[in-house]
Amino acid sequence: MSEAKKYLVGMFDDDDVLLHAVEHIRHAGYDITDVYTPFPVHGLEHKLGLEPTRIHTAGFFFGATGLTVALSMITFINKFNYPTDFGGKPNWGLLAYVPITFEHTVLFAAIGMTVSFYYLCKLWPGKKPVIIDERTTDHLFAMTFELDKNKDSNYINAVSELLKNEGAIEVYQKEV
Amino acid sequence: MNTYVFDSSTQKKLFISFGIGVLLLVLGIFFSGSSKTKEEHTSVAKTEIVAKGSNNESTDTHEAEAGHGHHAEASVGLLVKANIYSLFYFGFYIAIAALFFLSATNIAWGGWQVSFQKIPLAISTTVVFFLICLFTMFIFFKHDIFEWTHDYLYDPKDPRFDALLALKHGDFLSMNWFWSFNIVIAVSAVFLVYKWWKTLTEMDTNPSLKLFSSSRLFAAISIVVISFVINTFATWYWSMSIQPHWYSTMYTWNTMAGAAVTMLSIVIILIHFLKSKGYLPNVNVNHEHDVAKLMFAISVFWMYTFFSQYMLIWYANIPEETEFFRLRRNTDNYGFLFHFAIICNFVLPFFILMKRNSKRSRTATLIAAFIIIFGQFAWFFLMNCPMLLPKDGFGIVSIGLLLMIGSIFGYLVLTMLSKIKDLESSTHPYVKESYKHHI
Repeated sequence: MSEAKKYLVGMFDDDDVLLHAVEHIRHAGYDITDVYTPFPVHGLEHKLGLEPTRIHTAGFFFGATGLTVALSMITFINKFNYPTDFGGKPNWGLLAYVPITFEHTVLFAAIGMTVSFYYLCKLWPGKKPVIIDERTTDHLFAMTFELDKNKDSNYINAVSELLKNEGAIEVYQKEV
Repeated sequence: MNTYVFDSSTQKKLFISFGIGVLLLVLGIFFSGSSKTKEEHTSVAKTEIVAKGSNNESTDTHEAEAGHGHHAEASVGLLVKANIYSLFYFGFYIAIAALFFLSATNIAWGGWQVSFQKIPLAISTTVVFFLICLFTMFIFFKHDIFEWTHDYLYDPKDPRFDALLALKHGDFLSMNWFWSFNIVIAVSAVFLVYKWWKTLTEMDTNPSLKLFSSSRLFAAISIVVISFVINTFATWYWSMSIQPHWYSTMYTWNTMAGAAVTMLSIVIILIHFLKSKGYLPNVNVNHEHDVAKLMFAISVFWMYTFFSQYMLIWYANIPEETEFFRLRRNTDNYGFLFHFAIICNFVLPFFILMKRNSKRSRTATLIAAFIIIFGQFAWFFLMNCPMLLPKDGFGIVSIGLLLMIGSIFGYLVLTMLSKIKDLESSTHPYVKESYKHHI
């Protein structure tokens, strides 16, 4: 991928402290890049102000695609390409197609949503994982601030001070 | 404010709706009485032609079908009896579904339902009333409702002898078996309701973990008894045997799903009603969201069972099986009601309740709840009555009786709710989880 990015990292050891810290730091006007946790923390996404996911909208369109594909395929085969008489049933018996169409809709929606989820999370086979701090996979919480060119030492000092006041056990800079 | 007071203005409203129901019933009886006498001859002739036509196609075992049944004797009395029977059956199942809700949520260590679980508890107590009504119908009108109770069907010398029913007579469709299962069903249902009532109300005054853990064991027993004893045999004996030549293994599922979604609709209406009166301060939009989710899910499940039953019968196209839908789907008798029930039970709730915001909205859930209740009422009518009333029997009489029985049901539920000391179960071990429920 692109060149390494520099981050200011604040480590926390308690999810409750972390939640309050997120609230206070955002209130003070600093943008948090991301928070890494060893387990899902209830309410963190609201405190971080993340947008609600739109993946279900994508799922609806994937499902609609599946429905269209299944119905048009069955219709084409049974009505036009190879019409066959089974016990006097109509060639285009919509009722009998419902189970297959349903399964196809679910299949398209499921595969489409899984693939788009992995794409959005930037996860694909053979991807090298980016880990801010190995301890976030076990027992600590990391709050990161991306440092680009227009963020000077004043900014770093102010955020570090704030992080320590909010209960961070450790504050350091890291390039990944 | 933790004990519900059944005030006189609510009582008055229920009495008024009961009165409207009586008025509609009288009007309906008057209208059908005046039109029946003119139409009687033509309708009888028509049904006989239909019956003969189907006989010629099917095998000789079906020959008896045209002979008995209630085609010729469709009268105002039968109209009222069939409608009222269908409603009692519906009410019984709503009460059983409430019992199932209590058992299923308790056995799953559910915490979210604790703050409003007294509402399904109050609904489940109406099972006693509906059992008494159903048993009265069985004792006095069994020949009107159940064709198979006639003795002449099993007498080979009689011209109305039915070989197929005679095969079922000894093992299943006989009065001895019928009453044995009735008593088992009634005793187990009343016992379960009594035990749940006792456990949950005792936990209000005397909170103990022992009572709580024993209620989990009891929930496990309840689920087994409800599924394998009450539901299965009650649908077979009380509803499926109205049309004794026809049978379906999806029928119990479908009945139970329909009753469960109606029960949840009633629960959400009662939550909104009690909240508008200032009760249940700790039940918030998150609880309503979860109940609406269950409504959405079970209405889809109802459609699933309905469609499975319908498509297999349509695809197999065996005369014995298609008989059920020939009576119900064809446009000349109940076609409109049939499609109306599907739209009310699946299509409308599916689109109304699909979005998260509408599940959290008071208006949308209330609209969906009333649509579902009416749609399920129509479907329960369609399950029970078309065999008894082969021509159109759904009308003002049905609506009037729905209002009457619904008012009695509401009166009973609210009376039982007012007997509960602690409406929000504030001493239940999981009450904190419920009060802080957040999704």
